Amino acid sequence: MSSEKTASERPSALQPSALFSACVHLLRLTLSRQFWSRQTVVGLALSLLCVMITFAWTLHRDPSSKRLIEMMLVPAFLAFLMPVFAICYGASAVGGDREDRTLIYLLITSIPRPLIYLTKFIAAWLLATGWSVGVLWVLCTVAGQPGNEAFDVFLLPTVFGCTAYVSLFLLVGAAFRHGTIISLAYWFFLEVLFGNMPGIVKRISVAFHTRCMVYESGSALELGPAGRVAREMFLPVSGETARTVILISSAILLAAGMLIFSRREYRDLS
Amino acid sequence: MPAELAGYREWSGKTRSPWRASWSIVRTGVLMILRRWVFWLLIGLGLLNFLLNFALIYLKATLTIQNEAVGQFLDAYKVTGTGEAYADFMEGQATITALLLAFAGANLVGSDYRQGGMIYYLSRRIERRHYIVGKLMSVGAVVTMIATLPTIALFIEYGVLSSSLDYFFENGRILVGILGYGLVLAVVQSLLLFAIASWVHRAVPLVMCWLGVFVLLRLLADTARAISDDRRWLLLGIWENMDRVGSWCFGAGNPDKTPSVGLCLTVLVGLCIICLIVIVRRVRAIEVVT
Repeated sequence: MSSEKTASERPSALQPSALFSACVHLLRLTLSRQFWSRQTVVGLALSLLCVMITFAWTLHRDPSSKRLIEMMLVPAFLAFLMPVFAICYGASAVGGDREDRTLIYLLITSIPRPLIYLTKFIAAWLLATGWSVGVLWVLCTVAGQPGNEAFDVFLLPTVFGCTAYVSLFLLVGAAFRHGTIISLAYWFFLEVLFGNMPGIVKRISVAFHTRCMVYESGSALELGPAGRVAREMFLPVSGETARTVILISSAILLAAGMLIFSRREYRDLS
Repeated sequence: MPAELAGYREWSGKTRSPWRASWSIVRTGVLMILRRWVFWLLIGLGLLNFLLNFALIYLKATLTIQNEAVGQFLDAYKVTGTGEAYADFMEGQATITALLLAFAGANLVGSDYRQGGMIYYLSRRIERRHYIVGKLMSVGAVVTMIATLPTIALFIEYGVLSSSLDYFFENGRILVGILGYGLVLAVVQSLLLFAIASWVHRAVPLVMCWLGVFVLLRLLADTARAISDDRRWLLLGIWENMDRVGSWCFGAGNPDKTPSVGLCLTVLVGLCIICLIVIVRRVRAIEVVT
């Protein structure tokens, strides 16, 4: 009896309902801090620029879903905006707290560290996916009839791609002090350079699997990389395989991030 | 208590030009960047292209003596020692530089706004122009380290490994081209980075803005050109403008191509002036809170 009382009096032993409430509060706080930030304003500006480009594209002589996807959505949205949103909210979810010196207040709470990390992941995922899907919807709406078909093709790959990117960049942000810059370097070297290399080396990139999902869901439109050589060298995997790879790798990255965040002794907290 | 008793005294030595402070700002900025391991990681990745070219030039010099066909084969990889080859190399390095500058901008300029470094600097006996020039030169030094110096190293390697030193005398224009291209990259990118970083101080939004300028403007330029069939829309691509002017320094590139080098240069000069105005307005020793 006395041992139970002692355990309940310990500040770390929160009741499940209190723990849930604390996590929800942290989720709301993280969402609010991340959303009402300068990166959201910049993200909005970049999205507006993309919308302008798409609107200009609709004035093209022969707009079609295939051309919209190959000329606009793959290079501007899938290859640029989506990873940038994920870096913006993923890498800064923990990294922002470190930069603002507020991580110490989070770590001294009674919420277990894995739960803090999981809550941060949910917040970053909601923001990155919400932004990406929202921008995709606006781009497709602006594009008119070709956009309606393209939205269906892109919706699921966007959600899966965001999940993988956020879990990866959140891990980088938790593990390294300059998480944003390392995420950026990863994106540029592995996603952009390796992602466009011939052969199977590109399979380590998230962009490859997302593109495979897009090409399979848009098979009726005969989608694929631009140019005969690029098509022959792309060596796609099936959409099912791509989904499985993304889900498994996201789960592994999330678990690794929780482990690192739980064990890491942050020395630059104050 | 009199100031003399507290240890304060008038400076009796010879005062130096405040421009020397700009050099101190450059030195401090570059050392601050070089202390970070992330920078060394990025510089290592950025120099992969240099190492590849370095090795190919060495291979070419060694194997051409034994088999001329091998040298011709390697020429396909642009180790030809011509101005065009160096311009292509610098264009590749400029891409890496843009990535590095995203990091450098947040540390060199953004942190001065966030942590009060600018107030400290401007409380010394220097004026705004000394601070601005110092910071611009710091960013320019980073660009030079990644783009210009490796190209000069390749130029020297090519000349030294050729059969005689005539390569240096016959290709003096190439050295001018390397320095010219490097100057274009350093001036435009440092001004643009400073202007952006003076508005967005934090790393994440700065990176987003910086990438947006280079990636999305190019896409907008391509789309507008496809719609109107007017190549002058390509002037929106800042990177391409820099490459065009840089290639012109080497004497490479098609002079009849639209947009002309003059137009590209005009756009870049206009951009630099706008950036300079933004920088001058944003660099203040005090912040007025309303």
